[in-house]
Amino acid sequence: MESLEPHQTQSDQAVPAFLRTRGLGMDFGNGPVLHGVDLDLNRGEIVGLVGPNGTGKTTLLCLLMGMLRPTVGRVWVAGRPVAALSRRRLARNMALVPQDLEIGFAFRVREVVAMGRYPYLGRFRVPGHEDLAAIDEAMSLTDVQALADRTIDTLSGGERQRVLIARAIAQQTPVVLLDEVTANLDLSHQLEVMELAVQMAAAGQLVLAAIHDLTMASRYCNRLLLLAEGRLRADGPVRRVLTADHLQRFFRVEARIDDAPAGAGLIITPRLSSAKPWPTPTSQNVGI
Amino acid sequence: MVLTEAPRPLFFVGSGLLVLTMLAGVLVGPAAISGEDLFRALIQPYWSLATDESAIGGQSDWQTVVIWQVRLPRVLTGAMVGAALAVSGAVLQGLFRNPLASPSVLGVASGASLGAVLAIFFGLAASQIWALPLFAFIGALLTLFVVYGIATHGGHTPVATLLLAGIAAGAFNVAMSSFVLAVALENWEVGKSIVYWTMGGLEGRTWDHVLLIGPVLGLGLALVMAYPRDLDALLLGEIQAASVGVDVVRTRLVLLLVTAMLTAAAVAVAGGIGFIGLVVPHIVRLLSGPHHRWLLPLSALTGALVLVAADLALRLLFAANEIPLGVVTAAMGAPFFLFLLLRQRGLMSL
Repeated sequence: MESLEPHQTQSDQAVPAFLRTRGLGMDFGNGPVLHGVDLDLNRGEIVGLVGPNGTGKTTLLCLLMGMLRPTVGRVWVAGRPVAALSRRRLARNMALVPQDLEIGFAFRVREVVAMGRYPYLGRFRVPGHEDLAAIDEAMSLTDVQALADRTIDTLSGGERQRVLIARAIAQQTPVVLLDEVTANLDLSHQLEVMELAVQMAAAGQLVLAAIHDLTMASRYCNRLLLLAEGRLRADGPVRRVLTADHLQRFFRVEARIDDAPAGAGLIITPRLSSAKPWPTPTSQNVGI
Repeated sequence: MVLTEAPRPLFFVGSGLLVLTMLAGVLVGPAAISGEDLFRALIQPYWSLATDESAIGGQSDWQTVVIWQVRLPRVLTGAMVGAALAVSGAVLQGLFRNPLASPSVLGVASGASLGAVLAIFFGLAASQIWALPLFAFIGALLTLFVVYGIATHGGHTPVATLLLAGIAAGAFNVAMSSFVLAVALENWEVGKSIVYWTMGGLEGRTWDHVLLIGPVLGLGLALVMAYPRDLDALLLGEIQAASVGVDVVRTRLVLLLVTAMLTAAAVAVAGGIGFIGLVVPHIVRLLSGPHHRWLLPLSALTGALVLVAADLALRLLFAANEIPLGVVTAAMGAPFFLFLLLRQRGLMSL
């Protein structure tokens, strides 16, 4: 696996974090979507990115990947500014697994996984032994070998998601970004995906997962980022981020937070805090 | 490539059919030419042909002259126009993940047409053989830059905006061409040549046309064949392609320029020939799968085959009338495309 040599930049830390942002802000022209985000993420962490809908989680992932140019602020990966790296160099450092992807073309599963080797292949080079080994390993880790010769448009949502995760694993990057990857999976596959994230982190990868399921996040992440209204509201261990106060202020729910049995994270029981009584229809507004 | 087997049978069958159709294209015509004449003509180098006045009674018989001066350039031009249009369509459909993309949808083909129509109108095409292709190039490139420029904002080019801008620019180009034509009709000869040129055809194509489109096609094919993996990745979406390392902006710009160049060359030598760029890549994709590594060369092969066959059919069936080739390709292509649409909706599988 090739990654960039970290080198010292002007920083408030002795060793800059592997993935770092300062003053990151994004404005698409209708007011800021993200504002003043400072992040220091290191290899070996599983970081959950939580927050209500439309608070800029996907925008943040796109900025980290260098797919959007921030209005203000900067992103560094492995000590290098993301804006200065070619797409190919970036792809050797960061892989993205998307939310859900309809693929209407009849590529075989193995070929989709093989696309993860793109950043390592010259324009006219065919995949070598190393590439094929990486593809096989990724398929076995995600349990999609049995599907290898199926075409991607015939798979179920869960199977397709695992293929896309395999593709990101084949990319062999120090950073893996997961954008709501468990959203379309059944329980056992959700757990499998999160266990994979644990393995990736154990192997020294930085996993940053945007995730809606707070229970799942509390169980598998060792650090959470809470993003709300375009700002980073909390950053730290699960119990410091998932507090009744934060859930009230940023998710607009009253929540009871309990320890799950066997140390499996937290159980969050939410209730709408702004719950209003249903309007009773009067004779005037019935049948308008 | 270990991962994807080359569809060798398709290449063999396609090449075989193309060679046979091209031979038939050389043999069939108002002047009867036998296989023996063809063999004799082909072993005689082109440069040893006597030209013009000395041809009569010189060392070349009339069959050899017809084959070298009339039939071969016509068939070769047709093959290369078909290949250029089909490859352009295949690239654009992959680039925009849109099965409806084709050189005409982005307005590039009508831009080339407008340039060519202007060249005819101002009488430049009649005096200068390079004027028409040059104007077609300029028209295609201008349209492409306007469409691409309007649709691009902050380094992003949303596909929907691009297609809409292309349709609008295409409508403008067609309107301007019609305007020029309406004005030109005062002079019947100019008007008639514009009308015939617009409808497309391979009548009277010469080695100048072959020499014009040949290098453009060669260069274009070489360039697009450097991008099959990028196009494959783009089929999974812009963000997915970028996340595996595809430089989406640059890839798109390079490939758009190449398709504009190919389309302009095709339009310049053969006029408006529709549906090849739209339909051929679909047929090939059904047979070969979505891999651009095979889809692009097979589209070139099939595009060449279809256009030469259409021209041949035209000469066999309507020898007496001057039916333009563009009419035949549209008449064959449109129903086929509708059939594909029905099939996709599952209606035909009942």
